[in-house]
Amino acid sequence: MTELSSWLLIALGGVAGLVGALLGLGGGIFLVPLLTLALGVPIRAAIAASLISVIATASASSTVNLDRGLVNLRLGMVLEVATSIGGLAGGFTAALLSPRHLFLLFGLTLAGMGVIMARRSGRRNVIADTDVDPGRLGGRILEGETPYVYRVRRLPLALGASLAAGAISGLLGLGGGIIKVPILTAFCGIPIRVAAATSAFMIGVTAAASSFLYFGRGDVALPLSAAIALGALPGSLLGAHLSHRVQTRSLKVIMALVLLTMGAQMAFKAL
Amino acid sequence: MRGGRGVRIERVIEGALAFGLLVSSALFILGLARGASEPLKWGILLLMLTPVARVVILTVGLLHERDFRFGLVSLFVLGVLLSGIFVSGRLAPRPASGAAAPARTP
Repeated sequence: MTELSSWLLIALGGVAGLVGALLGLGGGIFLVPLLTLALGVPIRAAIAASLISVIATASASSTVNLDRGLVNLRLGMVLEVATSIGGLAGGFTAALLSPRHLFLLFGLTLAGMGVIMARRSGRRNVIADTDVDPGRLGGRILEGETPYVYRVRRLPLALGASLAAGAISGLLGLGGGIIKVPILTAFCGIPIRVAAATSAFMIGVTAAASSFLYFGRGDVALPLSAAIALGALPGSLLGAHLSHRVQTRSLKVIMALVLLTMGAQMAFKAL
Repeated sequence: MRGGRGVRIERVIEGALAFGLLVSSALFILGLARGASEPLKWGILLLMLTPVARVVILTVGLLHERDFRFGLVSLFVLGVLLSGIFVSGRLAPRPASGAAAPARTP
């Protein structure tokens, strides 16, 4: 790997970490298409590099989010049961699928999530009456100076989404946040900031579950993965710090467009 | 959540994550600067083990708090992760199909 491409990969990891941490995603959703389509990296090496970068992003942004009390540890752990099983299953299945099928699956996942993101309502999940019992899995958050309560609804749906997120993570090198965050927020009563922080906390474990399988199979290209992860660390720290100041609504619209475009490109390449 | 000695579990997890990230970053810088693969390999392995360490800490913390329901949930997740590590140690490396090829120079 030349010096130029090292710097380019570090920068790429930085951008993926920044955007990933802002939205509670790992950033793999940008990395895999960019590595394969723009830099010609084989898809399995790109997925492995993305998983390593997702771990870096998740760990770095969690150090910030834990400090702010945004991570719901118990909810994260319950959902991790489903994601880690899904992650392992996805990691095994990936070896059985052809690169063409992986491209197609990736493209369809991106496009599908783009549609959900574009159509997501701006509904609020917080309850202003702080005497309401949040239940075993719910919690309390501060928005500015105002305390709010949230309760977790439709736990089976949250678990199903987490299982799917885990499987897609292992198959495609994503964190799975792109599936969990919209579903937890739209259907399960969890405020977007808590969903993003808890998802970011979980995706490190999800990605780790499948990354060991890629590592064992020799799919991890060391300089490529290390350079991207090295960039992702400062990028995601910056993203986690900035998350309070950015208008997430406008970011989500841009995200939806990026997802749809990249998804269409990946699916097109497979056909 | 609070550990038995009044230490917040969140703080311990934060410390473990920060430690893993710092050491693996240092190994990445060393490996990339010298073009050596050993520091890169160990850096990546350490990074991959960081989430495992945080599940271990959370499991121990929850069991220590006598929160057995969530402690067992956490233990289960740890079991899945460890089984992934166990299986990966027994996987035959894929025959060279370009998977480990470096990125094309732009």
